[in-house]
Amino acid sequence: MFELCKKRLEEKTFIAKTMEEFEKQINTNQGYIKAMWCGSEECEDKIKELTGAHSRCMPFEEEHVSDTCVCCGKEAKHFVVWGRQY
Amino acid sequence: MAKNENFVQDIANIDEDFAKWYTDIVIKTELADYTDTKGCIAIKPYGYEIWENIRNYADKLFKESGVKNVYFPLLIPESLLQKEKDHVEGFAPEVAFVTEAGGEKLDERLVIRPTSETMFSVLYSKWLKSWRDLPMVYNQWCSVLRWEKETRPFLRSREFLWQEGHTIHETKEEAIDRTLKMLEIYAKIVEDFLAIPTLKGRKTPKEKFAGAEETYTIETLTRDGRALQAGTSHYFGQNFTKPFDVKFQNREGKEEYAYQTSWGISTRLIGAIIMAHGDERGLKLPPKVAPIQVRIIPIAMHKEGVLEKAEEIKNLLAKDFRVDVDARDQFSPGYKFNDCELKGIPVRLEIGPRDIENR
Repeated sequence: MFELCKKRLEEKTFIAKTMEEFEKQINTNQGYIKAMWCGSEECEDKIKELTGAHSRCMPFEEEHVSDTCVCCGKEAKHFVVWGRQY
Repeated sequence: MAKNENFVQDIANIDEDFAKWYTDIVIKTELADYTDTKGCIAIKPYGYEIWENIRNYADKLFKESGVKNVYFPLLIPESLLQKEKDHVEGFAPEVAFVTEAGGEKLDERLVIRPTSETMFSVLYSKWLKSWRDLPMVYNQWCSVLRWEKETRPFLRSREFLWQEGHTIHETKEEAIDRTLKMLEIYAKIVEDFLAIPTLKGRKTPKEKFAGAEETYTIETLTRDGRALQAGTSHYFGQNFTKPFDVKFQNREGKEEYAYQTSWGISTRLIGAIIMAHGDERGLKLPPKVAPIQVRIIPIAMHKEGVLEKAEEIKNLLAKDFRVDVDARDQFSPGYKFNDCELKGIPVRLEIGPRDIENR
Protein backbone atom coordinates (compact mmCIF):
# COMPACT_ATOMS: atom_id res chain seq x y z
CA MET A 1 0.00 0.00 0.00
CA PHE A 2 2.88 2.27 0.90
CA GLU A 3 4.50 1.67 -2.48
CA LEU A 4 1.30 2.56 -4.33
CA CYS A 5 1.10 5.87 -2.49
CA LYS A 6 4.79 6.52 -3.03
CA LYS A 7 4.44 5.98 -6.76
CA ARG A 8 1.50 8.38 -6.91
CA LEU A 9 3.46 10.91 -4.83
CA GLU A 10 6.33 10.77 -7.32
CA GLU A 11 3.95 11.10 -10.26
CA LYS A 12 2.33 14.13 -8.66
CA THR A 13 5.49 16.03 -7.71
CA PHE A 14 6.73 18.67 -10.14
CA ILE A 15 9.46 21.25 -10.38
CA ALA A 16 8.80 24.87 -11.30
CA LYS A 17 11.38 27.56 -12.05
CA THR A 18 8.90 30.23 -13.14
CA MET A 19 5.36 31.18 -12.16
CA GLU A 20 4.27 30.14 -15.65
CA GLU A 21 5.54 26.60 -15.05
CA PHE A 22 4.10 26.63 -11.53
CA GLU A 23 0.61 27.64 -12.67
CA LYS A 24 0.63 25.24 -15.58
CA GLN A 25 1.64 22.25 -13.43
CA ILE A 26 -0.69 22.91 -10.57
CA ASN A 27 -3.68 23.55 -12.81
CA THR A 28 -3.21 20.45 -14.93
CA ASN A 29 -1.95 17.97 -12.37
CA GLN A 30 -2.31 19.50 -8.90
CA GLY A 31 0.08 17.76 -6.48
CA TYR A 32 3.31 19.12 -4.98
CA ILE A 33 5.30 21.86 -6.69
CA LYS A 34 8.99 22.14 -5.81
CA ALA A 35 10.17 25.72 -6.25
CA MET A 36 12.67 28.13 -4.75
CA TRP A 37 11.62 31.09 -2.60
CA CYS A 38 13.26 34.35 -1.62
CA GLY A 39 11.78 34.23 1.89
CA SER A 40 9.44 37.20 1.57
CA GLU A 41 5.86 37.07 2.74
CA GLU A 42 4.87 39.10 -0.33
CA CYS A 43 5.93 36.32 -2.67
CA GLU A 44 4.32 33.69 -0.50
CA ASP A 45 1.04 35.65 -0.61
CA LYS A 46 1.38 36.26 -4.34
CA ILE A 47 1.89 32.57 -5.05
CA LYS A 48 -1.21 31.77 -3.00
CA GLU A 49 -3.19 34.43 -4.86
CA LEU A 50 -2.15 33.20 -8.30
CA THR A 51 -2.26 29.46 -7.74
CA GLY A 52 -4.17 28.70 -4.53
CA ALA A 53 -1.11 26.88 -3.23
CA HIS A 54 0.26 27.30 0.28
CA SER A 55 3.84 26.64 1.22
CA ARG A 56 3.73 23.16 2.78
CA CYS A 57 7.21 23.19 4.22
CA MET A 58 10.91 23.70 3.66
CA PRO A 59 11.91 20.02 3.50
CA PHE A 60 14.75 18.64 5.59
CA GLU A 61 15.95 17.05 2.36
CA GLU A 62 16.89 20.17 0.46
CA GLU A 63 17.11 20.38 -3.28
CA HIS A 64 18.50 23.08 -5.52
CA VAL A 65 15.94 23.73 -8.23
CA SER A 66 17.30 27.11 -9.30
CA ASP A 67 19.15 30.21 -8.06
CA THR A 68 16.17 32.52 -8.08
CA CYS A 69 12.78 32.85 -6.42
CA VAL A 70 10.02 31.34 -8.58
CA CYS A 71 7.87 34.40 -8.00
CA CYS A 72 10.01 37.56 -7.97
CA GLY A 73 13.24 36.33 -9.56
CA LYS A 74 15.42 37.62 -6.70
CA GLU A 75 17.99 35.44 -4.96
CA ALA A 76 16.55 32.16 -3.71
CA LYS A 77 16.92 31.63 0.03
CA HIS A 78 14.87 28.47 0.56
CA PHE A 79 13.77 25.31 -1.22
CA VAL A 80 10.02 24.98 -0.65
CA VAL A 81 7.35 22.44 -1.50
CA TRP A 82 4.03 24.06 -2.36
CA GLY A 83 0.53 22.63 -2.70
CA ARG A 84 -3.19 23.21 -2.47
CA GLN A 85 -4.51 21.89 0.79
CA TYR A 86 -7.33 20.30 2.68
CA MET B 1 -19.33 -5.56 -13.05
CA ALA B 2 -22.97 -4.52 -12.94
CA LYS B 3 -23.56 -5.86 -9.44
CA ASN B 4 -20.66 -3.83 -8.10
CA GLU B 5 -21.90 -0.67 -9.74
CA ASN B 6 -25.32 -1.00 -8.21
CA PHE B 7 -23.80 -1.44 -4.82
CA VAL B 8 -21.74 1.71 -4.90
CA GLN B 9 -24.19 3.83 -6.86
CA ASP B 10 -24.93 5.97 -3.83
CA ILE B 11 -21.31 7.08 -3.70
CA ALA B 12 -19.91 9.84 -5.87
CA ASN B 13 -17.32 8.89 -8.46
CA ILE B 14 -13.88 9.11 -6.90
CA ASP B 15 -12.25 10.74 -9.90
CA GLU B 16 -15.06 13.12 -10.79
CA ASP B 17 -15.89 14.47 -7.35
CA PHE B 18 -13.29 13.45 -4.81
CA ALA B 19 -14.63 15.75 -2.10
CA LYS B 20 -18.12 14.25 -2.30
CA TRP B 21 -16.70 10.73 -2.62
CA TYR B 22 -14.91 11.35 0.66
CA THR B 23 -17.95 12.41 2.66
CA ASP B 24 -20.11 9.69 1.03
CA ILE B 25 -17.55 7.07 2.05
CA VAL B 26 -17.40 8.32 5.63
CA ILE B 27 -21.18 7.93 5.94
CA LYS B 28 -21.61 4.72 3.92
CA THR B 29 -18.82 2.80 5.66
CA GLU B 30 -20.21 3.96 9.00
CA LEU B 31 -17.03 5.63 10.16
CA ALA B 32 -18.99 8.67 11.35
CA ASP B 33 -22.19 10.62 10.89
CA TYR B 34 -23.38 14.21 11.10
CA THR B 35 -25.20 15.38 14.22
CA ASP B 36 -27.48 18.20 15.37
CA THR B 37 -24.36 19.97 16.62
CA LYS B 38 -23.16 21.90 13.59
CA GLY B 39 -19.57 21.17 12.67
CA CYS B 40 -19.32 18.26 15.07
CA ILE B 41 -19.45 14.64 13.96
CA ALA B 42 -20.37 11.47 15.78
CA ILE B 43 -17.58 8.94 15.43
CA LYS B 44 -19.14 5.47 15.16
CA PRO B 45 -17.54 2.21 16.31
CA TYR B 46 -15.78 1.44 13.02
CA GLY B 47 -14.20 4.88 12.97
CA TYR B 48 -13.49 5.04 16.66
CA GLU B 49 -11.67 1.72 16.63
CA ILE B 50 -9.29 3.08 14.00
CA TRP B 51 -8.54 5.96 16.36
CA GLU B 52 -8.05 3.57 19.28
CA ASN B 53 -5.58 1.53 17.23
CA ILE B 54 -3.65 4.68 16.29
CA ARG B 55 -3.74 5.89 19.87
CA ASN B 56 -2.47 2.63 21.31
CA TYR B 57 0.41 2.47 18.83
CA ALA B 58 1.33 6.12 19.33
CA ASP B 59 1.02 5.97 23.11
CA LYS B 60 3.43 3.04 23.23
CA LEU B 61 6.02 4.96 21.19
CA PHE B 62 5.52 8.06 23.35
CA LYS B 63 6.01 6.16 26.58
CA GLU B 64 9.13 4.48 25.21
CA SER B 65 10.56 7.95 24.58
CA GLY B 66 9.90 9.07 28.16
CA VAL B 67 6.50 10.75 27.87
CA LYS B 68 4.08 10.71 30.82
CA ASN B 69 0.33 11.09 30.32
CA VAL B 70 -1.67 13.63 32.28
CA TYR B 71 -5.06 15.28 32.10
CA PHE B 72 -5.53 19.03 32.54
CA PRO B 73 -8.67 21.23 32.51
CA LEU B 74 -10.90 21.71 29.50
CA LEU B 75 -11.68 25.28 30.52
CA ILE B 76 -9.07 28.02 30.50
CA PRO B 77 -9.64 31.49 32.00
CA GLU B 78 -9.63 34.09 29.21
CA SER B 79 -6.88 36.14 30.84
CA LEU B 80 -4.51 33.16 30.60
CA LEU B 81 -4.98 32.84 26.86
CA GLN B 82 -4.09 36.48 26.39
CA LYS B 83 -0.66 36.29 27.99
CA GLU B 84 1.14 35.43 24.75
CA LYS B 85 0.28 37.94 22.06
CA ASP B 86 0.83 35.90 18.87
CA HIS B 87 -0.94 32.94 20.38
CA VAL B 88 -4.13 34.76 21.28
CA GLU B 89 -4.11 36.59 17.94
CA GLY B 90 -3.79 33.33 16.05
CA PHE B 91 -6.50 31.48 17.91
CA ALA B 92 -8.95 34.30 18.72
CA PRO B 93 -11.16 33.75 15.62
CA GLU B 94 -11.70 30.08 16.52
CA VAL B 95 -12.25 30.27 20.23
CA ALA B 96 -15.55 29.46 21.97
CA PHE B 97 -16.35 30.70 25.47
CA VAL B 98 -18.42 29.59 28.44
CA THR B 99 -20.01 32.77 29.77
CA GLU B 100 -22.69 31.43 32.06
CA ALA B 101 -22.79 28.46 34.43
CA GLY B 102 -24.76 27.25 37.42
CA GLY B 103 -27.46 29.79 36.62
CA GLU B 104 -25.09 32.74 36.87
CA LYS B 105 -23.08 34.87 34.50
CA LEU B 106 -19.35 34.23 35.03
CA ASP B 107 -17.03 37.00 36.25
CA GLU B 108 -14.44 35.99 33.71
CA ARG B 109 -15.13 34.17 30.47
CA LEU B 110 -13.77 30.64 30.25
CA VAL B 111 -12.22 29.49 26.98
CA ILE B 112 -12.92 25.93 25.87
CA ARG B 113 -9.39 24.80 25.05
CA PRO B 114 -8.44 25.14 21.37
CA THR B 115 -4.99 23.90 22.49
CA SER B 116 -3.43 23.89 25.95
CA GLU B 117 -0.06 25.70 25.80
CA THR B 118 -1.34 28.30 28.24
CA MET B 119 -2.72 25.84 30.80
CA PHE B 120 0.44 23.73 30.68
CA SER B 121 2.63 26.82 31.03
CA VAL B 122 0.77 28.01 34.12
CA LEU B 123 0.97 24.63 35.79
CA TYR B 124 4.62 24.16 34.84
CA SER B 125 5.34 27.55 36.39
CA LYS B 126 3.68 26.39 39.60
CA TRP B 127 5.62 23.11 39.77
CA LEU B 128 9.04 24.00 38.40
CA LYS B 129 11.67 24.98 40.97
CA SER B 130 15.08 23.74 39.93
CA TRP B 131 16.99 22.09 37.07
CA ARG B 132 16.47 18.80 38.94
CA ASP B 133 12.75 18.98 38.08
CA LEU B 134 13.59 19.03 34.37
CA PRO B 135 12.66 17.90 31.87
CA MET B 136 8.91 17.73 32.31
CA VAL B 137 7.59 15.66 29.44
CA TYR B 138 3.80 15.49 29.63
CA ASN B 139 1.09 14.57 27.17
CA GLN B 140 -2.67 14.42 27.20
CA TRP B 141 -5.15 12.54 25.05
CA CYS B 142 -8.24 14.75 24.92
CA SER B 143 -10.53 16.74 22.69
CA VAL B 144 -10.21 20.39 21.71
CA LEU B 145 -12.64 22.88 20.21
CA ARG B 146 -11.93 25.23 17.33
CA TRP B 147 -14.82 27.16 15.81
CA GLU B 148 -14.06 26.37 12.17
CA LYS B 149 -16.20 27.96 9.49
CA GLU B 150 -15.81 25.15 6.96
CA THR B 151 -15.79 21.60 8.24
CA ARG B 152 -15.18 18.18 6.73
CA PRO B 153 -15.52 14.92 8.72
CA PHE B 154 -12.23 14.01 10.45
CA LEU B 155 -10.22 16.53 8.42
CA ARG B 156 -11.63 19.61 10.06
CA SER B 157 -14.23 19.35 12.83
CA ARG B 158 -15.07 21.86 15.49
CA GLU B 159 -14.44 19.34 18.22
CA PHE B 160 -11.77 16.77 17.50
CA LEU B 161 -9.80 14.15 19.38
CA TRP B 162 -6.06 14.40 19.59
CA GLN B 163 -3.02 14.19 21.75
CA GLU B 164 -1.08 17.29 22.76
CA GLY B 165 2.37 16.89 24.28
CA HIS B 166 3.93 19.82 26.09
CA THR B 167 7.47 19.66 27.42
CA ILE B 168 9.89 21.97 29.21
CA HIS B 169 13.66 21.60 29.21
CA GLU B 170 16.83 22.87 30.80
CA THR B 171 18.48 23.80 27.51
CA LYS B 172 17.55 24.97 24.04
CA GLU B 173 19.37 21.99 22.53
CA GLU B 174 17.44 19.46 24.57
CA ALA B 175 14.14 21.13 23.67
CA ILE B 176 14.93 21.16 19.94
CA ASP B 177 15.99 17.54 20.27
CA ARG B 178 12.61 16.60 21.73
CA THR B 179 10.81 18.62 19.02
CA LEU B 180 12.56 16.68 16.29
CA LYS B 181 12.30 13.35 18.08
CA MET B 182 8.51 13.65 18.21
CA LEU B 183 8.45 14.44 14.49
CA GLU B 184 10.36 11.21 13.88
CA ILE B 185 7.83 9.31 15.96
CA TYR B 186 5.01 10.88 13.96
CA ALA B 187 6.74 9.87 10.72
CA LYS B 188 6.96 6.30 11.99
CA ILE B 189 3.25 6.27 12.83
CA VAL B 190 2.18 7.67 9.46
CA GLU B 191 4.60 5.64 7.36
CA ASP B 192 4.85 2.31 9.17
CA PHE B 193 1.45 2.07 10.79
CA LEU B 194 -0.70 3.92 8.26
CA ALA B 195 1.40 3.13 5.17
CA ILE B 196 1.38 6.75 3.96
CA PRO B 197 4.61 8.36 2.65
CA THR B 198 5.48 11.65 4.32
CA LEU B 199 7.20 14.91 3.49
CA LYS B 200 9.04 16.24 6.55
CA GLY B 201 10.20 19.81 6.94
CA ARG B 202 10.01 23.20 8.56
CA LYS B 203 7.08 25.57 8.15
CA THR B 204 7.61 29.07 6.76
CA PRO B 205 7.21 31.88 9.33
CA LYS B 206 3.72 32.62 8.04
CA GLU B 207 2.55 29.00 8.42
CA LYS B 208 4.07 28.45 11.88
CA PHE B 209 1.98 27.75 14.96
CA ALA B 210 0.90 31.01 16.58
CA GLY B 211 3.58 31.72 19.20
CA ALA B 212 6.19 29.17 18.08
CA GLU B 213 9.85 29.82 17.22
CA GLU B 214 9.78 26.98 14.71
CA THR B 215 7.13 24.55 13.54
CA TYR B 216 8.05 21.23 11.97
CA THR B 217 5.52 19.27 9.98
CA ILE B 218 4.63 15.92 8.47
CA GLU B 219 2.79 16.38 5.19
CA THR B 220 0.88 13.77 3.19
CA LEU B 221 -0.58 13.90 -0.32
CA THR B 222 -4.14 12.82 -1.07
CA ARG B 223 -5.23 10.83 -4.11
CA ASP B 224 -6.39 14.05 -5.76
CA GLY B 225 -3.06 15.75 -5.23
CA ARG B 226 -3.84 17.99 -2.29
CA ALA B 227 -1.62 18.43 0.73
CA LEU B 228 -2.83 17.19 4.08
CA GLN B 229 -0.90 18.11 7.19
CA ALA B 230 -0.67 14.95 9.31
CA GLY B 231 1.18 16.14 12.40
CA THR B 232 3.19 19.06 13.75
CA SER B 233 5.85 19.63 16.36
CA HIS B 234 6.74 23.08 17.71
CA TYR B 235 9.78 24.60 19.36
CA PHE B 236 8.77 27.60 21.49
CA GLY B 237 12.07 28.65 22.98
CA GLN B 238 11.11 30.93 25.85
CA ASN B 239 8.09 32.50 24.12
CA PHE B 240 5.68 31.10 26.69
CA THR B 241 8.01 30.45 29.61
CA LYS B 242 8.83 34.16 29.89
CA PRO B 243 5.28 35.58 30.02
CA PHE B 244 4.12 32.67 32.16
CA ASP B 245 7.11 32.77 34.49
CA VAL B 246 8.21 29.18 33.95
CA LYS B 247 11.64 29.46 35.55
CA PHE B 248 14.09 27.35 37.45
CA GLN B 249 17.31 27.55 39.46
CA ASN B 250 19.94 26.38 37.00
CA ARG B 251 23.07 24.43 37.84
CA GLU B 252 24.99 27.67 38.50
CA GLY B 253 22.36 28.79 40.98
CA LYS B 254 20.98 31.46 38.65
CA GLU B 255 17.36 31.83 37.62
CA GLU B 256 16.62 30.87 34.04
CA TYR B 257 13.52 30.46 31.89
CA ALA B 258 12.84 26.92 30.64
CA TYR B 259 12.75 25.96 26.93
CA GLN B 260 9.46 24.58 25.67
CA THR B 261 7.98 22.32 22.97
CA SER B 262 4.56 21.01 21.97
CA TRP B 263 3.42 18.44 19.40
CA GLY B 264 0.14 16.90 18.24
CA ILE B 265 -1.64 14.42 16.00
CA SER B 266 -5.40 14.03 15.75
CA THR B 267 -8.37 12.17 14.28
CA ARG B 268 -7.46 13.98 11.10
CA LEU B 269 -5.23 10.94 10.50
CA ILE B 270 -8.37 8.93 9.81
CA GLY B 271 -9.11 11.39 7.01
CA ALA B 272 -5.55 11.00 5.76
CA ILE B 273 -6.02 7.21 5.55
CA ILE B 274 -9.23 7.60 3.54
CA MET B 275 -7.75 10.18 1.20
CA ALA B 276 -4.44 8.45 0.62
CA HIS B 277 -5.59 4.85 0.24
CA GLY B 278 -9.24 4.95 -0.82
CA ASP B 279 -10.09 3.82 -4.36
CA GLU B 280 -13.10 3.29 -6.61
CA ARG B 281 -14.12 0.24 -4.57
CA GLY B 282 -14.22 2.21 -1.35
CA LEU B 283 -12.03 2.44 1.74
CA LYS B 284 -8.73 0.67 1.89
CA LEU B 285 -7.43 0.23 5.40
CA PRO B 286 -3.79 -0.53 6.16
CA PRO B 287 -3.72 -3.96 7.88
CA LYS B 288 -1.99 -2.66 11.00
CA VAL B 289 -4.73 -0.15 11.76
CA ALA B 290 -7.83 -1.91 10.35
CA PRO B 291 -10.46 -2.69 13.05
CA ILE B 292 -11.26 -5.92 11.23
CA GLN B 293 -8.25 -7.44 9.51
CA VAL B 294 -9.87 -10.65 8.28
CA ARG B 295 -13.54 -11.18 7.46
CA ILE B 296 -14.83 -14.69 6.95
CA ILE B 297 -17.77 -14.92 4.60
CA PRO B 298 -19.66 -18.21 4.71
CA ILE B 299 -21.15 -19.37 1.39
CA ALA B 300 -24.39 -21.38 1.48
CA MET B 301 -24.66 -20.56 5.14
CA HIS B 302 -27.81 -22.60 5.62
CA LYS B 303 -26.03 -25.84 4.62
CA GLU B 304 -24.92 -28.05 7.45
CA GLY B 305 -21.55 -27.40 9.05
CA VAL B 306 -20.70 -24.21 7.16
CA LEU B 307 -21.28 -21.73 9.97
CA GLU B 308 -19.60 -24.03 12.47
CA LYS B 309 -16.53 -24.29 10.27
CA ALA B 310 -16.47 -20.53 9.83
CA GLU B 311 -16.53 -20.04 13.59
CA GLU B 312 -13.81 -22.65 14.00
CA ILE B 313 -11.52 -20.84 11.59
CA LYS B 314 -12.34 -17.52 13.24
CA ASN B 315 -11.35 -18.82 16.67
CA LEU B 316 -8.11 -20.15 15.23
CA LEU B 317 -7.22 -16.84 13.57
CA ALA B 318 -8.41 -14.72 16.51
CA LYS B 319 -5.19 -15.50 18.35
CA ASP B 320 -3.19 -13.40 15.91
CA PHE B 321 -5.68 -11.27 14.03
CA ARG B 322 -8.76 -9.12 14.47
CA VAL B 323 -11.22 -11.38 12.68
CA ASP B 324 -14.98 -11.67 12.34
CA VAL B 325 -17.59 -13.76 10.53
CA ASP B 326 -20.23 -12.07 8.39
CA ALA B 327 -23.13 -14.32 9.28
CA ARG B 328 -25.87 -11.81 8.49
CA ASP B 329 -28.63 -13.89 6.97
CA GLN B 330 -30.39 -10.99 5.26
CA PHE B 331 -27.54 -10.53 2.75
CA SER B 332 -26.19 -12.65 -0.10
CA PRO B 333 -22.50 -13.58 -0.30
CA GLY B 334 -22.21 -11.22 -3.28
CA TYR B 335 -23.47 -8.33 -1.18
CA LYS B 336 -21.08 -9.30 1.60
CA PHE B 337 -18.08 -9.28 -0.78
CA ASN B 338 -18.94 -5.77 -1.92
CA ASP B 339 -19.53 -4.63 1.63
CA CYS B 340 -16.12 -6.00 2.57
CA GLU B 341 -14.50 -4.10 -0.29
CA LEU B 342 -16.33 -0.92 0.59
CA LYS B 343 -15.24 -1.11 4.21
CA GLY B 344 -11.63 -1.65 3.17
CA ILE B 345 -11.15 -4.86 5.10
CA PRO B 346 -7.66 -6.16 4.21
CA VAL B 347 -8.37 -9.91 3.92
CA ARG B 348 -11.52 -11.70 2.88
CA LEU B 349 -11.90 -15.44 3.44
CA GLU B 350 -14.73 -17.28 1.71
CA ILE B 351 -15.75 -20.66 3.04
CA GLY B 352 -18.40 -22.91 1.53
CA PRO B 353 -19.43 -26.61 1.55
CA ARG B 354 -16.97 -27.48 -1.22
CA ASP B 355 -14.05 -25.92 0.64
CA ILE B 356 -14.97 -27.92 3.72
CA GLU B 357 -15.14 -31.09 1.61
CA ASN B 358 -11.80 -30.48 -0.08
CA ARG B 359 -10.25 -29.32 3.19
